[in-house]
Amino acid sequence: MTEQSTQRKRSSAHASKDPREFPLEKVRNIGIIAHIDAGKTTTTERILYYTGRIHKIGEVHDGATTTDWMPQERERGITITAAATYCQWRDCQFNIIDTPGHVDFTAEVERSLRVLDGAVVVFDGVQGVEPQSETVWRQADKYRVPRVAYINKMDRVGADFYMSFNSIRKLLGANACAIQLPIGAEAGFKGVVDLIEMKALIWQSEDLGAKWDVTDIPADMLEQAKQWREKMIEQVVEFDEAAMGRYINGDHGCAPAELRRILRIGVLQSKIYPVLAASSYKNKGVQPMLDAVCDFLPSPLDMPATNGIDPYTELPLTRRASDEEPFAALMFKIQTDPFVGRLAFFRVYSGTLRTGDQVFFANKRTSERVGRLLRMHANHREDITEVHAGEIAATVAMKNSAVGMSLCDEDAPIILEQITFPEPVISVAIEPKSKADEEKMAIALGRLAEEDQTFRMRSDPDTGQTIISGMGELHLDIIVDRMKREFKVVGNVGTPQVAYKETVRKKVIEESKFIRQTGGRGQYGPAFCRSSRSRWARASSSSTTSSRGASPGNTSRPWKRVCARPCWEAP
Amino acid sequence: MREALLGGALIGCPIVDIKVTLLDGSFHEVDSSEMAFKIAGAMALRAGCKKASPTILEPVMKFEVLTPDQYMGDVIGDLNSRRAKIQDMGDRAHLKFVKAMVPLSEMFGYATVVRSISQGRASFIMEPSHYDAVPANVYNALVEKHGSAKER
Repeated sequence: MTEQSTQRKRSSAHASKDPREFPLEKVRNIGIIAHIDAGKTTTTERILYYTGRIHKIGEVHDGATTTDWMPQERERGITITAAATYCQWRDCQFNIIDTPGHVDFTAEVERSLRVLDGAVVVFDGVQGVEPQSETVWRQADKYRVPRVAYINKMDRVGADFYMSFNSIRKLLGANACAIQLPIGAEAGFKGVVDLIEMKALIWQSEDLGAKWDVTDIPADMLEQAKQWREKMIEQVVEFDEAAMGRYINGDHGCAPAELRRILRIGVLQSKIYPVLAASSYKNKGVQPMLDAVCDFLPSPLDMPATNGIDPYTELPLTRRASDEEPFAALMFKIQTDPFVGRLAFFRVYSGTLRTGDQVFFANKRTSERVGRLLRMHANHREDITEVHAGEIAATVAMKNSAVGMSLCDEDAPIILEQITFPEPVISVAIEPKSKADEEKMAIALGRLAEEDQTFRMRSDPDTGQTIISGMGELHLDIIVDRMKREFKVVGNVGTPQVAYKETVRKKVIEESKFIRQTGGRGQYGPAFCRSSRSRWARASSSSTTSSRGASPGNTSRPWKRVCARPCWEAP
Repeated sequence: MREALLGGALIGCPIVDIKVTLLDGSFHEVDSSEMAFKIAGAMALRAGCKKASPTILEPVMKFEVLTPDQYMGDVIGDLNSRRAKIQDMGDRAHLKFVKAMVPLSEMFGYATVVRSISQGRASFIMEPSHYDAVPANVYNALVEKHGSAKER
């Protein structure tokens, strides 16, 4: 098809399109990432509450939060699957993905970061930077995701904003920049000093933190606040030459709006990370974080054009985030839903998709019709008729859906950059409780493996066991539990057998006779054998390149069993 | 005889890297059958193998762990207790790496151990490398285990 005709087709589609609810520059796709138990889910819950998505705050320890909806998540008080939801704050639309903190579910963080534009990194105010904070920070670095740091749990005993702030600078080597200071600490944590506006925000504790008073900075903190503001300005002006010039010439003041604008430039380049203080659990400091997301984190328009390749010519292509560009989207998650079957989540990079449209799977070079489009709110769904560039949505019942699939306009095919997943590190053997469950187990494991790219199953040709591999013991534990609940298959888990082999080291000659007289025809078969070593050491120098680890089942078998003619052929 | 090779002589594992030559045989016009030769062959093989100083081979993995400096000692200490043969170590970016050959049978649950040693900061990869003979103590343990399993 010629360039012209596609152009025409696109512009006609554009003309009949409904106006989108939010302009593209007001869309924020953000992820909440952090170490285990830093308060990601609690924070997400508060965001949903203050933005009016939910009317009651659920707590993780009661198993009542919105984004932790799987029974296993509620029971254990941990997040297992990344949950997508959306809300509105000020004039912005937020698509939020709440991610798990455990290293066992790192794939969820990985795939979320791949499709997000910005992230809020939650830190524990008592611990500062924790190992997993480091891991997710590096993952975000890999996908060049701009971040806002959120130091949570300021109300807890031992909370220290300054220690946490310094640990971000030191351990993560990040150019962190405090834009807030906490007022009071531990039980006395009342609010924050906004260093940009130079105002104090004090929360009233009675009304679930819905309101706060903007007051002058307490006198005892004024000096400190001035110092920190000075530091902040020094860090910020670097990103704007005019401001830098003024700063060097001794003009150390900076208007809040100007400051925000310049800080945003730095944040978008991932060169500076604003740091906020809060206590999600005590409902303090969440709203300023939402403001910071609106102010500093990128909209799809701020991100560089998405790269991809043409599936036919393999030439590099790019897609700007715009409704006018040809449609391009990336599937990043498959989830089995008891009601609608397989849900495929995707992020639209450019163009618009409506129900009933044909969509081209560039990796497989096939087309499919889009049945239903859904906007997800954790496990609740809302039917929508179209999705625009920069949005995250889900679709059901498409045959070809798989993680990493690029969806696009057939006339303008593109394969987007893939998501990379870490290799599983732990393997265990699993067997069904009863013979009847064998087939069911295989189906269940197959489904689970489809959802989760870090979970693998295979059967070991040497030992005959079914081996499942995952990222950690908790991961496999959850898989077995899910198999039990969702597929009603009970499996026994055990240590995988190691495939030993035997060999001989000497040459021997052996004679053996098998004589048995059982009435009629007897059996008579004497044999003389010489057994000797054929080859030894480096017995099976493996030539496999598979690095799945943990199992000899992957070893190819280059050895030869040099066996003379079978004895029964020789009289 | 091929069937017997798969069945193994020591612990019921396949026998590999062996050459078996049939030297001679005789037959009886009425009573010789294919089955009889088969069984005789298997018996000869099994008896022969037992005399030919048999040994057990185990899969050995090529292994590499990446860890921050301060956990290096603990990681190496733990590896030594797992019969690992350390081959190389050095720096990579701000981390230390250790390369080693480790028997697979010792590595079960290693991911959890290495994480607890290093507060979750270390990571490792391994892939099958080759088969190697097991040391005497492991050999005895395996033979004993197989014997008791058979009795049951």
